[in-house]
Formats: sequence, structure tokens, C-alpha cells
Amino acid sequence: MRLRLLAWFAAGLAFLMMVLSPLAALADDTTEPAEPSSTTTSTEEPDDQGGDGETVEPPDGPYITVVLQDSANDDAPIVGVTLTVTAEDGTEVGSAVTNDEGRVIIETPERGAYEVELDQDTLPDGTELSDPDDASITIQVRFDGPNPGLFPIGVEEVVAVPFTDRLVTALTSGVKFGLIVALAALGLSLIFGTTGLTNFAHGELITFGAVMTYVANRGFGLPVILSGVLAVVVSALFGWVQERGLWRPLRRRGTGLIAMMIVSIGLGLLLRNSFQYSIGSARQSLSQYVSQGRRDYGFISLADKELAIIGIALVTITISCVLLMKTRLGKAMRAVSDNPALSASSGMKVDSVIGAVWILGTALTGLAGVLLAINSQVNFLMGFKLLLLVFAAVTLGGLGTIWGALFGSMIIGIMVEVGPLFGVPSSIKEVGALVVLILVLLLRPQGILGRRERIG
Amino acid sequence: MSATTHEPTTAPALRPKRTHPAAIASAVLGVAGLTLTAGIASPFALWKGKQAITAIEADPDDYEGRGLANLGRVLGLLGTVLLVTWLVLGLFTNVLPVDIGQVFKTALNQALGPNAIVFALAAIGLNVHFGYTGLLNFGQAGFMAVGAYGLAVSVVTFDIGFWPAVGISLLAPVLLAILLGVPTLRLRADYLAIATIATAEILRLTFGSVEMSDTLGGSNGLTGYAGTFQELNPFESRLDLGFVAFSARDTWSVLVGWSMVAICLLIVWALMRSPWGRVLRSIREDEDAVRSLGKNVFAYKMQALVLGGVFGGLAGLFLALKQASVVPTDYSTNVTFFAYTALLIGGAARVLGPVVGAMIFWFLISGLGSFLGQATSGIDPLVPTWIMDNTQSSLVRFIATGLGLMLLMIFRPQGIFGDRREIAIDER
Amino acid sequence: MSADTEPARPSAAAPRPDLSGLEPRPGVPKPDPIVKGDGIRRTFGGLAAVDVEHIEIQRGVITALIGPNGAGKTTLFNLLTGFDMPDSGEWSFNGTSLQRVAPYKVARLGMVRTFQLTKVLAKLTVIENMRLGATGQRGEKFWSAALPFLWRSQEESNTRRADDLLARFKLDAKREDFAGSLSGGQRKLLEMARALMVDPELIMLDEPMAGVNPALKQSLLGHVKSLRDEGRTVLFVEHDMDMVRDISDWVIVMAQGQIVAEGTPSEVMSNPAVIDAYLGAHHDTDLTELDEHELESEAEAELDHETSTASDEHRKDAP
Repeated sequence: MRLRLLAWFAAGLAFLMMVLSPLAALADDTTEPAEPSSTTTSTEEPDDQGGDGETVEPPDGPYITVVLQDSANDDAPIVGVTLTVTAEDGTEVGSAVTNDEGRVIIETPERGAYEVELDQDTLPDGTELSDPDDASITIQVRFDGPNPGLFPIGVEEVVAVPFTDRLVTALTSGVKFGLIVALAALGLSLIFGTTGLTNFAHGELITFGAVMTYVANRGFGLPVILSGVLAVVVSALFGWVQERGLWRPLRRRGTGLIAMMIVSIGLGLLLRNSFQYSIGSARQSLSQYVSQGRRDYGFISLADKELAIIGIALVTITISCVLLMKTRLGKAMRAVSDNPALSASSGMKVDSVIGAVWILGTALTGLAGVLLAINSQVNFLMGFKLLLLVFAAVTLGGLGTIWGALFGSMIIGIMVEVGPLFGVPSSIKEVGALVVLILVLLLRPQGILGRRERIG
Repeated sequence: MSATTHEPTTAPALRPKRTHPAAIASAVLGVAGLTLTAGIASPFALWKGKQAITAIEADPDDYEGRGLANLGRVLGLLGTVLLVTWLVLGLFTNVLPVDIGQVFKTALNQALGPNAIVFALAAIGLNVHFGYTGLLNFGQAGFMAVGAYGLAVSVVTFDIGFWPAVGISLLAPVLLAILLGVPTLRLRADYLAIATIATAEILRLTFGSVEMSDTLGGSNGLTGYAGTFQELNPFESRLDLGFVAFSARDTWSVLVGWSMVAICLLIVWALMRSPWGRVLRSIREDEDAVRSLGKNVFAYKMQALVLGGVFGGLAGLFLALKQASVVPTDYSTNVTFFAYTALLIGGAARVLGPVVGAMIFWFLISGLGSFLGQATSGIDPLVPTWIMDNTQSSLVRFIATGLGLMLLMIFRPQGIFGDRREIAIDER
Repeated sequence: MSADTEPARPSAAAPRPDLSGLEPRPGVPKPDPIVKGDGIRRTFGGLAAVDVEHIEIQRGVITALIGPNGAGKTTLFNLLTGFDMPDSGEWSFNGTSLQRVAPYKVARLGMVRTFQLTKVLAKLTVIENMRLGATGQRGEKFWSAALPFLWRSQEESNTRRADDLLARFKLDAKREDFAGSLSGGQRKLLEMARALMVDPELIMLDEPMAGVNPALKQSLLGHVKSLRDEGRTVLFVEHDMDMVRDISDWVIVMAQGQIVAEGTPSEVMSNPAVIDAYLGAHHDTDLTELDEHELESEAEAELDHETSTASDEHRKDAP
């Protein structure tokens, strides 16, 4: 009978998407343009290609676009620099001079690899490339439309900071990151523990929290804090709807865990792209607390919002753990995760316990998204990028154990942030955590705190 | 997680009525037809709705859901009318800014073109892993990446010549499979899933890292290794068969690609009808039973992982050759997920399943993309921009893919053409 | 015990050893043991599921392993066949030590087991299930698998053997059916027949009668006896006391992980220690019926456990 909800769930999602898109369009008007960071050469994040008042009309076919900004000078656009595009075979395709936004657009005849060379003589005085020997980049033109390229410009001022200070800073941000991961990991672990579902859409639950904050804040103009509270409530509701409309009917049908895992992959794809549909692919900022100066607290210096994030996460985690340890509902949750069949036969309402777990789990996960949004920005991929780290955290501590999830999250958070100090390339600092995940699977698959009997 | 065989339970005397699955499918398809798929799903909604009504009438004590089925039928009817209108207007008049003929041609081109080949090869590998052996490899993109980078790095960075590099590209996935298999094949299925997905991400991030861009090309990737392949191209002009057309370069790629697919299919067909294939299928069903009969389960799983991994590597190799460039973003986790979708469309544990699935997948994806792309472009687009702009239209197909994957897994885990009794997936 | 009920044996087999003269005490040495074990101990979270000081299984006879629920019978099975690792202890099969030997190697040595919850390969046909059992198949090697001429003749002879066994177990009508469509009793039969495809010296049956309908039971009993008469050794776990009394030559009684008594069926049935430990007041009641509910929850616990473990299989002992 509940199966009917499955249909409503899917229909609801489709309409949610429809409703979100005008809202987001509304929000688009108020957002600041995305800032393409010019200190990295990452093109993985598609830049906001929408019309933020371009003075150059983009052509229909493939073209190369480069925005020059000076990272040493608050990302100010660099005007009047000549860039030349050469095809693979050496023929010159065209050249152009950067406009008021520091942007050039050069049309290319077809897709392929092109060399973009920056004429260093045309750079304004006092501005120079980070690496003056590397004045050209190769761009793969793979799409009709814009193909972005980036030049590292502006020498980062390298101040000799003592290693201990850097370590303390890294540790602090590691703890902050770890606590955010812990919220999401707690959610994943609770849901996995009670239902056995390895939820590949869990990353999207994080994004959901962030996107809801963004919609409430930018779309409805609510203050960030109120938006965050609303987002957590909506996340909890979303969890309940998911459980009632999708997962419970599937369990009733006797769908296997592997089948459910693949369903969660489909759901993840659907949600991820719906988010992009609604808020676009650019990174969006909330209206308040965007850039805050740090205060000095003796050893460490923290922005107010960072302090708040750490505080909120700590309090929430503590409350959740007390809930799970002390209350009837918490005990029921742990009983169900130990042995659903036995719990059912001893008169427990397993389905309502699982419903409660979904509500709590998605609320915690949504909160992680809210905190991430306040900490940095909102992006449709933010949760998906975090998913593997959350998996790593949960596996590291031992699948399905609460303390394990917390412990694993802190290790992962600190490792990601501290790793670069010990030689992990900072552009791939997540890799360290993932390598640890694989090593844990190799050496102690039950996790550091897990029981041996649980896993084969 | 293991495929435990339950004793058949006797039917309980009092069974609650349940909603007929076809009724739900009908309603979902009806909604999807009107929103996501521009009417294409609507006729199926009609069909499913009719099926549901018939079944409910035949068995009114067991099933309910008439209202839902009727909803599906009404929505399906609306969508079908809409679809027919599109088609008629689009094909025979110039009233619409959408050229339906062009949409079909684009879709067909993609279904037979190089992209479908890449996914067919990757899905053949996944079929060996998941379909036949039950191994949840979520890192097929990683196998593709080592295949592609094996070639590119060998030629570009180490300059060892094209043919030896092809050899390395075939060997790299074997090594990866062994490295991955030794720790994880003894573990539960979902651990393998997490380990493989993590490995694929590690590879992608490493290949794209700034620090190693001297060797690996960074986020811009590597080019200039495929010269030998292009020199071998015997085609000089464009191939146009009316319903499909390929550039000279693509014609060569397509010829080589489909030959590769044919060879892989032949290998899978020959192996899976042998006693070796029987052991794999048995492992999928219950590995302890196979162990108790004196078979070295670990060794068989490893062989399957290597074989499927090599097919994945071939997919990467072919992608690298046809595109003449390797870029880390081509090997994201989504690629693995799409390959799974293709496999499930065609039906897991069927020799032709992955190929049929990849073709259907690309037909639908690019047809929908082309249609919506046209419908949202121009000065006065068919679809108002407040509903969907041109950028958003390219996302609808992925949203539809996600929904499609869910629906497939829930309602037809055996694939579009499969027989439910033979489904390979641990459905219950 | 009963020389008069014994059917004609194939002349190839050695005369069945007479165990009636053995002293009925736990761990008593047998004239010709096929399995010998010492100090086998396995604990789960501090609870000793199995703690066997000394065990010997006589070659060429049917030995029954009985005991109340949670006595550690299935765990002992798992330990002996390599599906579980003991905390300590050593045991051997035909003089070959089996410590830390993988389950598949144990099976290849000639010691094959069945499972309490049948493990038929549901999506394979009955005949394919049978063919899988044959050992030393050339077609199961990766490199020769794609070349049918290398394995076809062997496959044909395996199929003939499988057909013979199916006919003997009255499953030949189901030859092309999916094993998943068989009834519980037929699954038990199929699993036993499949185990015989390995041609084991010692066959270990874990509750072969559980869930089998009464009409089939009699023929199953006959099958088990005929295994012994072919010269194989049989070790089985059973709750059905009728079966134990009927067909076993020797009975080992376990309780709380330990062997508490051994002897011929009649000796064991009259042993006060056994009656105390196990039979209690329900001496003549069918224990399967008595413990149906308990068995069910036990099976559930095991099922649940199996879903969370791959190889670390054991029976969850009820407190």
C-alpha cells in the first residue's frame, strides 16, 4: 500500500525541481559572480559562463576563454594583456587583448588542443606571472562554447611561518572539517546500521542542506541563521519522505541490499543534477558571514563563524550521542541495528524506529551541509565530493558503530588538512585519506573500533 | 549481502492488498513523460497503465492501485498526444524550432558512434564483474583511466613507441586488478564497492594533480600519442549512410571500436558457457557453497576481476585513441555509474546485454539532449526560459538517467529484454 | 549394533568396524579414525562455543553428532572444514593436519560438508548444480575454458555421473529446473547429491532432515545408509532422534561446547548424563517439534549473521 508513495516521491521530486528553478533564477539576480580563482589551474569547476555582463559576445562554435586576475591584488582583473592562440600544428588561430573584466574570448576553428601564450611584455607594471618561465598553457577545446584556461598570476607572498604555527592552523581546520564530516558520517552510520543500506546518495543529502540554506537565504531573503535552521528541518522532512516513499516500500518488497545500493546511485545522480539544474554549476555565496576576519585566541586564530561551526557541531554530536545512549528511542535504534529480526519479534516497531533514524540521520547530514555552506560556499557537487571521505571515516572507525564514525571522521578531517604539511600534494589532499581507507580495508576491515565478528 | 537462499515460506492466510507494480510504474512514467522526457515515456505509461488495470481487474482481492493506474493513463495519454504533435509538427512542418529528423539522426549517430563503443566495452567488463560473478566494482573508471594513461604516458612522457605502449595499456589494468583484488576480494561486497570507487578517485585526482603534471599532464591531460593510430586510417572521406554519418576519423574509430567489442563479446560468450563461467555464476549465487565443493573462490574472483578490468582498460584505450587526448575528468565516477546504467538497461549476465544497453543509453541520452537543446535555444525557444534554459536542458538527460536507473533497478532488474526468472542480481 | 538390519555391502568396501566393544566415554580412541582433533576451542565474545578436548571419528561408519541448541555442533563443523578459525587446537584428516587450511582445500582432500540452511545455487539448473560439484575439471581452468574440445569429453562423463546420482536421489525429473524452484526437502537432496559429485571420503551433513517432509525422510535415510555401504564415512548433525537411533553406528553428544558423552545409540540413550544434559523429561518426544520455535529463531540468528559475514560463519549461540 505504501508503494503508492514511491510514485508520489518521484513525482514530488520532479515538481520540486520545477519549483526550485524559478526560485533559483530569482536568486541568480542577487548573487555575486563566481570568482574564478587564478592561483590554481584547475578547470574542473566549470566557471560561471552565464552572462555576468560580458562585453564580448561569445561565438556559437568552440572558443577559448581566459580570465586574467591578479591574486596578489585581491583578484583584480588585469586589462590590456595580449594572448595568442596557436593550434597544435603551429598555425596561429587568433589573438586578443583582455577587456575590462580581464577576459578574452578567442574563437577556435574546431575542437582539439591549443596553446595559449601570454605576452608578458603587455602585463601591467608590478604584475607578473607566478612562474615567469611558464607563459603558455595548453587548453583542450572539447566543447562547443567556452573552454576556460587559467594563468597563475601574482606571486604569493611567502612568509616564513614557523612549522608549529602552521601545524596548529592545520590542526584547527582539520578539527573543524572533521566535525563537519562527523555529522554526515553519523548520519550515514545510523542509516547503514539500521537498514544495511550503503547509501551512495548520502553526499546529496549534505548538498541538500546547503542548497536549502541557499534557497531560503537568497531566494526568500531570510537571514542565514534562520535559513540554516529551516534547512535542517527540511532535510529531516526530506529524510522522512525518502524513507516512507522509497526505502520502506523497497524493503517491503524484499529488494536486496545490492539492488538498493544501485537505486541509491540513481537517486544520487537525479538529485545531483537537479541541484545543478536549480542553482547552476557555479559556487554561490550566502548573503552573510562570507568573509570574516580571524580573531586571535593566543595559540590559534579563528573567525567567529568557524568558532560557531565548531561549537554547533560539538553540541549537536554530544546531544545525538546522549540521545542514542540514554533515551528509549536511542536504545531501540541500537537494538534494531544489532538484530532487526530479534527486535521485531520482541515487539519493537522496527519500521517506526527506522523512520526515526532516517529523520535524525538526514537532519544531521543536512546540518553538515548547512555548516559547510556557511564555512565556504554552496555548490551542487560539494556533497558528492565529500561522500568518499564520509565513507572513509565510517569505514575507518568501523561500519555501523557510532563512536567509530566520530573517531574516523576526526582522523580523516585532520589527515586531510595536516597532510600537505607532510608532503601530500595539496591539490590532492583528499587522496591521503582515501589511501588510508584502502589500507584500513587491507589490514583491519572491521575498522579500528569494530568488532571482528561483524565482518568477514 | 551474500546470496543466502531462503526456504520458501508458505503463503500467509491473510495477505494485505498491495498496489500493483505496473500501476506505480505507469504513474511514474506518466509524470516523467510530461516533465523529463518530452513525451517519450508517455506511451509506456499508457501501456503500463492498461497492464495494471487488467491485472487489478483479474485479481481484485490481491491488488489495488486503480486510481494510480488511471492517473498514469491520463498523464500518458496527454504526453502521447503531445509527443505525436511534436513529431508531426517537427517532421512535416517548419512551425517548430525543432528538427525532429535531426534529433533522430543525432541519437542514432551516438548510438552507433564511438561514445557508445566506450560504454559498451566498459559495461562488458562490468558484466563479467557484476553480472556473472557478483563483484561490485564501482571503479571501472579507474580501470579505464589506467588503460588510457598507460598508453598516453608511455608515448608522451617516456617516448617508448606506440605499439609497446598499447601493450602497457593492456597490462596496466591487470596490475590494478591484482593490487585491488588481493586486499578486497575476501571482504563483503559493499567493501569492494567502496574500495574500488575510492581507488578510481585516487587515480583520477592523481592523474589531474598539479604537482605531477610534468609526467601526467595535470588537468589538461596529455595529447600527441595517437598519431600512429590515425596514420593507419584507410578512410579518406566522410561516411554518410543516410541515417548515420561519420567523419573519416570517426569512421576509422568506429570500425576499430566495434571490432574490439565483437572480440570481447566472443571471449565472454566462449568463457561463460564453459565450466569456468559456471563457477563464476555459482560464486555470484553463494560463494560458500562453491568453497565447500573444493573450488578456490578467491582465485576465480581474481580472474574475473582481471578479465573485466582488462575490458575496462580497453574502453579507456579506445577512448584515448578516438579522442586523441586523455583528460582526467573523462574518468570520473559518473562514467562508472553510466556504464552500470547501460549494463542494467541491456540486462546483466547476458552476453549482448552491455552492448544493447550502451546503444540504447546513448540513443536516449543524445536524442533527449538534442531535442531539448533545440527546444531551448534561439530567440523564441519552444520551452520558455523560466522553465528551462539552454544550460539546464543539458542536465535533464542526466536527471532522467538517475530516475531511469532507479526505476530499472526497482521494476525491471533483469533489463529491458531480460527474463525475470534469470535475473542475476540479488533482488531479494 | 545391528548386524541383522545391515544391507548387503559392495564387496570392495572393508567390513564395517564393530564399535560396540568400545568404552562409551567422551574422546574415546577409535580403531581406525579418519578425523582426529585435540584441544579445539572457539570463543565468541568470551563465550566458549566449542571446547573439545579430544575427538575421533571412526572411518567407514555413520557417526551422529547430537546435542541441545547452542551446543556448538555447527561451529565444530565449521571449524573442522575450515569455514571458521579456532582460537586454538589442532586436528587432522587422514593424518594430514588441517590447521589453517582453506575450506576448498579441505574439500579437495575428501572431506565435504553440507549446510544447515541449504546452499543450492538458485539461478542455476539442477544439472548445472551437479556438474559444479565435479573436481579436477579442465574446463574450470581459465586458459582452457574458451577451448571446448579440451574439456567436452570430461564434461560429458561428469554429466553421466551427475545423471546417475540425480536418478538415485529421484531428482532426474527436475534436471532442467532452476534449483531455486525446488522444495526444501529437494534442496537437501540436491545438496547431498552435489556433495557426492566431489566423491568425498567423509561426508558431513548438517541437519539433513530439517525441513524435509515425512514422505521424503525415509528415502533420505536410505540414501545416508547407502553412503556408508559404499565405503564412505558419514558424520551428521541431527535433532531427529528417530534418525539418530535408526541409522547411526556411533553417537557423540555435545553440550555447551564440550563432548559430554559418546557411545552406540542405545548406550547414549540410556546414559543418565545425556538424559540430564539434553533429553531431560522429553526422552521420547521428537525434538524437532519440541524445539521448532527455538530452531526458527536460531536459524534467523544464523541467517542474520550470514548476511553480515562472509566466511566467519558460525552459529549464534543462544544464551
